[in-house]
Amino acid sequence: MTAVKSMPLSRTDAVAAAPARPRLLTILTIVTPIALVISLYVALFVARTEVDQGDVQRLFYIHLPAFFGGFFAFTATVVGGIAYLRTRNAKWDRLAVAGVEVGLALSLINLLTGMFWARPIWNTWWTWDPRLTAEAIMVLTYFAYLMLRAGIDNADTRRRFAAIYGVLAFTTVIITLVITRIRPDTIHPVVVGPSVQTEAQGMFDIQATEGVRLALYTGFVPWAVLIPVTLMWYRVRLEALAERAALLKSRLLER
Amino acid sequence: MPILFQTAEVSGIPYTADYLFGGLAVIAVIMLVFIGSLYLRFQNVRKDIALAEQLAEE
Repeated sequence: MTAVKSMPLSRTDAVAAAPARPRLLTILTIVTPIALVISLYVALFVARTEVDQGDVQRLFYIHLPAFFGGFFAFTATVVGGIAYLRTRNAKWDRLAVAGVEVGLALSLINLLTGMFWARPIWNTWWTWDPRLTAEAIMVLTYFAYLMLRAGIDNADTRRRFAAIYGVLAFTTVIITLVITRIRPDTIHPVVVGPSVQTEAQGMFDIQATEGVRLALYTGFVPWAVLIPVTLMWYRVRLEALAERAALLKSRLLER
Repeated sequence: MPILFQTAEVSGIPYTADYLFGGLAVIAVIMLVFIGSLYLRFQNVRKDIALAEQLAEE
């Protein structure tokens, strides 16, 4: 038994093993689910029920932070894209693609929770409102990023294309963010900050219901910060491993 | 009675909890699919690397 334990790892085992996980990532992996459970508890059991909308209004405590989590991830894509174009270092491309995947997941959560809220409040799952349309275009634009990226074999071309696309695609995020503040005809409520709206439906006063602010702030910690950072970090590590696998395969083919 | 299960008859607040649970279910599905996909891709890439190294040694 001792002999087996003392045997050196083969080269295969050494390469197959993932690079050691940084301590900060391990901490994030533990803290993120804890923060998520706390935020859900506050949203479901601490915040009082909104009197006009009922319990479905509690989706707001995830809906809004998830959008900003997606915003954060797509911003990482812009940073990664610009940095890649300046340095041509592949690590920035990894950050960019990680931002798109995580941003898409969070944007889908934002979009679908909005639909579940809209059904009882607007009496429809979907309407071609300016905000909803803008967000749908944003999500489709980033889906196209992944599809087009997967279709380019040459790594340098793929990274260069993805960097430029990722920077330009961010315009859809900006439009989605500001459209409720520049289009008065949207029915999507603006709950936080100034608004030019005249036809908003499903508005509620953030200060009228006890616990709304607390639930919202508690929701921002996991959904807008911890989840995007943790998932992007894992996705970056996955991309680095995938690049290593591709390199090994190409060397084998050259032999 | 927990606040989540209030009914219109009890409180005068509209009963919309079913849509809340639907939304939470969708969130759980998206997160599980994403994390599961990450896990599977990690496993596949590790297998690829191990196989490539093994072939390189042979």
